[in-house]
Amino acid sequence: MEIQTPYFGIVSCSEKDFIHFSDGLFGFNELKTYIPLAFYDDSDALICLQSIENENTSFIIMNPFLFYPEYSPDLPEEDKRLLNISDEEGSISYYVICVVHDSLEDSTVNLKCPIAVNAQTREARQIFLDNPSYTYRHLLRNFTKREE
Amino acid sequence: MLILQRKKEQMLSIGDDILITVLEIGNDWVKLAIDAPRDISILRTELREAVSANQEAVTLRLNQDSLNKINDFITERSDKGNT
Repeated sequence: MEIQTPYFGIVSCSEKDFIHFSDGLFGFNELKTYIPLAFYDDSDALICLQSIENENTSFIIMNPFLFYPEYSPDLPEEDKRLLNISDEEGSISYYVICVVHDSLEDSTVNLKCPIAVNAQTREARQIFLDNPSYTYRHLLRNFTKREE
Repeated sequence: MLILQRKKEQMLSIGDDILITVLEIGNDWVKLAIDAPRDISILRTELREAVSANQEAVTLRLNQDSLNKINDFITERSDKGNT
C-alpha cells in the first residue's frame, strides 16, 4: 500500500513494516497502527513514527541509548504481559518521543513514557515509568557528549 | 471535598450512572472497578501529563535544518561520533 507522509512524500509499505499499539499512545488511543520511517540511513537514531490511520499524526522518536546509555526503563509487569514478553528482555526495543523545537537547545525528550516494542511481534505499548528521575521533558542540551 | 471510608467489596455511586467498587486493598494500593458510560474519560491522573506531553510532540512539519541539528546531536553523542 502507499501512504502520504509529511516528510517522505508518498511511501510504499506493507503490513509487515507496521507497528501495532493495541492501546494507542496516551491521548491517541484510537490510532493503533504506525510505520517507523528512519530519517537517516535506516538507523534507529531518529525515526518518524507515522500513523497509518491519520496521515497528519506523526511523532519523532529516538533511540535513547545512543545519547543516554545509562537509561534504564523498567518495564512494568502488566505491560510485559500485554506485550507477551517472557523474562528474557532481549527482544524489547525502547524509543523516546522527542519534541523538536527550532533551536536544539530547547528540544526535549520524554523519558517518563517511552515506547516499548516487542521486536519479534512488532506489538508496542507506550509505558509509564514510576522512576522519579525520569520526566516528560528532559532538555537535550543536558545530555553531554561522550569523552573520547 | 467529600471524604468517606469504604471496605472491600463496598460500592460508591456518583450520579445515576457511575458506580465504583473497591475490589481489593493492599498495603499501599487499592484496586477499583469503575462502571461508567463510555463517553466519560477515566484516566490515572499521572497520565494526564503524559497525554499533554504527547500532544505537544505531535509534529506538523519540521524543517530539514531542525532535523539535521538533532541528527548531529545524536551522532556527536553516540559511538559512531567517536570514530
